[in-house]
Amino acid sequence: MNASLIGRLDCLLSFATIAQKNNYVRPHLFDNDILDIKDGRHPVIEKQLPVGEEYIANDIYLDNQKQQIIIITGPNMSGKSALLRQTALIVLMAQMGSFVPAKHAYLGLVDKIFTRVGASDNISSGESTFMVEMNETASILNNLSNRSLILLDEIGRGTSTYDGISIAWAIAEYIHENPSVKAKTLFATHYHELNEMTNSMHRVKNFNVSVKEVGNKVLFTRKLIPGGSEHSFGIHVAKMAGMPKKVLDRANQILAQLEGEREGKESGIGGSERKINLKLGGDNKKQELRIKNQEPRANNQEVFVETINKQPSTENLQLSFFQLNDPVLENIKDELQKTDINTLTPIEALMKLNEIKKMIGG
Amino acid sequence: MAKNKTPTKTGTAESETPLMKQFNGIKAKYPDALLLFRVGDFYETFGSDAVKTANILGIVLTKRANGYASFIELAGFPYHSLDTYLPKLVRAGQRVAICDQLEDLKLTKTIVKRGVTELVTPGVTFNDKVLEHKSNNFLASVYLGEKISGVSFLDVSTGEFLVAEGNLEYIDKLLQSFRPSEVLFQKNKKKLFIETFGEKFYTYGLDDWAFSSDFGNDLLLKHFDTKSLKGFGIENLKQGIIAAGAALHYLADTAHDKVKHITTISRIEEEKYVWLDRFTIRNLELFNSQNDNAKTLIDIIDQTVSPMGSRMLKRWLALPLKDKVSIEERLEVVNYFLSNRETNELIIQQLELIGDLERIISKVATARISPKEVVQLKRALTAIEPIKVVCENSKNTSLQKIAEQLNPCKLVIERIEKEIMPEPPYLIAKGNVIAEGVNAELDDLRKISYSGKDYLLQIQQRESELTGISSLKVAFNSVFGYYLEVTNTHKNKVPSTWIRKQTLTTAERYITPELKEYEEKILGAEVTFPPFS
Repeated sequence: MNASLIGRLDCLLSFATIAQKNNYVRPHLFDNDILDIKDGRHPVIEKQLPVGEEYIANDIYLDNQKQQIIIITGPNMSGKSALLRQTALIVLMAQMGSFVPAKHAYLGLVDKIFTRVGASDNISSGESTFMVEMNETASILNNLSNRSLILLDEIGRGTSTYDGISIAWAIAEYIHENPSVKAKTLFATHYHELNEMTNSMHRVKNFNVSVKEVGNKVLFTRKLIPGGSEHSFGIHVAKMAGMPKKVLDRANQILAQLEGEREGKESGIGGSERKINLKLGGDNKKQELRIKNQEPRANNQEVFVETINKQPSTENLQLSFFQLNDPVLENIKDELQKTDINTLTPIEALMKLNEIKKMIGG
Repeated sequence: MAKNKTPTKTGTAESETPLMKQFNGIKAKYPDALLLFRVGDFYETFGSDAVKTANILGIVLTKRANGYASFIELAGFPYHSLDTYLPKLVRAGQRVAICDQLEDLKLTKTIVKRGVTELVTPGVTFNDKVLEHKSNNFLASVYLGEKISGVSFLDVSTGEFLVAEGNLEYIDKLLQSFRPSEVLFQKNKKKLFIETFGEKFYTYGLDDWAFSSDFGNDLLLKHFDTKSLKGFGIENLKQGIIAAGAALHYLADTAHDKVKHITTISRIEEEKYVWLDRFTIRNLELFNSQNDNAKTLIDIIDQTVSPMGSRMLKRWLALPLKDKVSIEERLEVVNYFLSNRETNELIIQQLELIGDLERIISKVATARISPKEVVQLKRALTAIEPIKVVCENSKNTSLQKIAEQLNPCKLVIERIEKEIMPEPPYLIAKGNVIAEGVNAELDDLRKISYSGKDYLLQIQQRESELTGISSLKVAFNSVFGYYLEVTNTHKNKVPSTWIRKQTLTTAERYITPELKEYEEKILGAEVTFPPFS
């Protein structure tokens, strides 16, 4: 008995110590569905900033009536994930009985917190990252409540762009349209296509983590502002990461090409042969998830090599290869379309390049 | 097990030595544990155990003859290094059976009786070196049921015992929250277990019969000495009880019979806490991070000074509350501390003195406490009184409530103060533990021991004067104890009451009734109170 009382005192003193040391405030708790955090900070990250740098605090407001789901767009590294996590951590700390890193926090008590991160690097365990991601997400959708807080970080990233967008969309829709429960959701994504959801779902709101383009460079302001974002900045990030200029130029070119193509044929961009059967709801055991990934092997290499030798190797001409009906070229096209540059690390980008090179027998 | 027909002490050509026979017999009972076999001043390991031990500890692997034309690997370390080596073995994922000599070498003519006194596994240990002060060391037990499964968490080092049941997802979440050091499961459900919970836990499969409803119920009732489990609010947790029963069974199995400090079992009330599933706990990096060096939330918020606080904070983080009243109560105290700095500092100062009160108390219950820790217990309890006073005088109702419940244990403090030396050694065998004035016989014996030399000198001097033997000496040997030695020149002066025991070339040795009586006291003291000196 003594021991647990002492433990309790010790914990509460610890809360007092951190509150004072880190400038936390007492949260105001309510039995309602509103989360209103003013100038919230990430308790761990704010302690690790270099001296002199200040953590950019952000406001988050969610409720079940008007602003149930927030779609946060913004490029990689802009702080989307930190923003999601800090929201959960603030709620969690408050419900432990601790003060919280914010200017003020009005919190409706939460009964479940779910967070999912797309394509977390689970390669070592041998599972398909996408499969893991879908498994994890399914378990949320089967356990929703009115007092749930859901954080989805780049869900759908583990598959091709269009699959990813579709799945992310469907998940958001499910949460929004669920007739019995309204779960508060923060959805971070770099698919700015998801911004279009606001058109059909009125409790979805768009926000973006603003970035400023100064000249040809991106400046991260890490401030959350209302509204969607136009396009992503993956290539800029690649530049910051020190990618060779050649790769960047090429990426820009391909992007322009792909974006042009997309406008051409709006739906059903082919290439991806994946079929996803996702039955959501009900028992998650019954969830079926079939992914067929048929990648036709490059069986025609000699022909291709011949072709490439005949062609002058200017970049523009190479692009036009895609119009040929050569299966190898089709493969490369597929591969490029499937590749989401935004999610690639520099190393992965180089590996991809290497892969493509191998396809043409280089 | 043993192939020899007639074991003899010397070991004939075909037979094993009696020692190896005994070893094999004990090893057969603990086939999956590494057996530390006490031989004299050493803990030895044999055969494949020795190979493993040598590998893990980096000690020398030797071979020795074991009967005719056979050799056995051998690795060992001095018994007093057990505290150094045991944690390494356990951390390397070994179950370690400690086999001690159960009788005094001097009292037996044949081979010493030996038996396993403790089976140390990652989830069941009292060893300070194995235990992490800031974390609980839970032994989890999982019963996979048809629809609902049960789970229990037991920390023998603190006496905490928790039980819960629910679907597999819930069990999984709890395992992630409590991060047990060892998980028990049904041997026949191994495949399902691994499929559901992965392979990241240190696991141990128990036979199916250990996981049964009646068995578990009986064990729990017997352990808590109650007629029903209603008082603990768990009587309806059928699956949970099965899991808890298996955990208790495992304790008995690992030779932990003194577990009366586990005085209660409580239900983890699902509806009281915020649901955090394992992905969330992982994604939010509450306790661990995928990056080794990264800081986690617990690193930031854990500013506790006592191990109890640190362990409780981890629990709080894994199980945040949903009930507004209880949360506000905590916030109110934090608020009070923030506006009353002096109170903080006063309490923190005292908390620092307390140390790991919880685990010390468990050691008292299991009779594993060292004399030094008894004094630490006194120090810890002494620190409670000032805390109680501070809380009582605070204007915060929940602090006052804590004050009310805090028990300064004055009687215990007084008794320790009176009965235990202020600075006793760590090992009881070193002596100087019990204070003076506690036990008259002990005091008497101590006096004899301390003043033993004086007393002998007195006898020597007195007899020398009485008999005029100037070279008289009092000495001791193991054959006939204390004796008086008289050189040949003085032989004729020896009084007739002395009994001659031995004749040497230059001297004669005698005993007297007085010396014998003194001797008996000394030897008696050693038997009654080995650590009396």
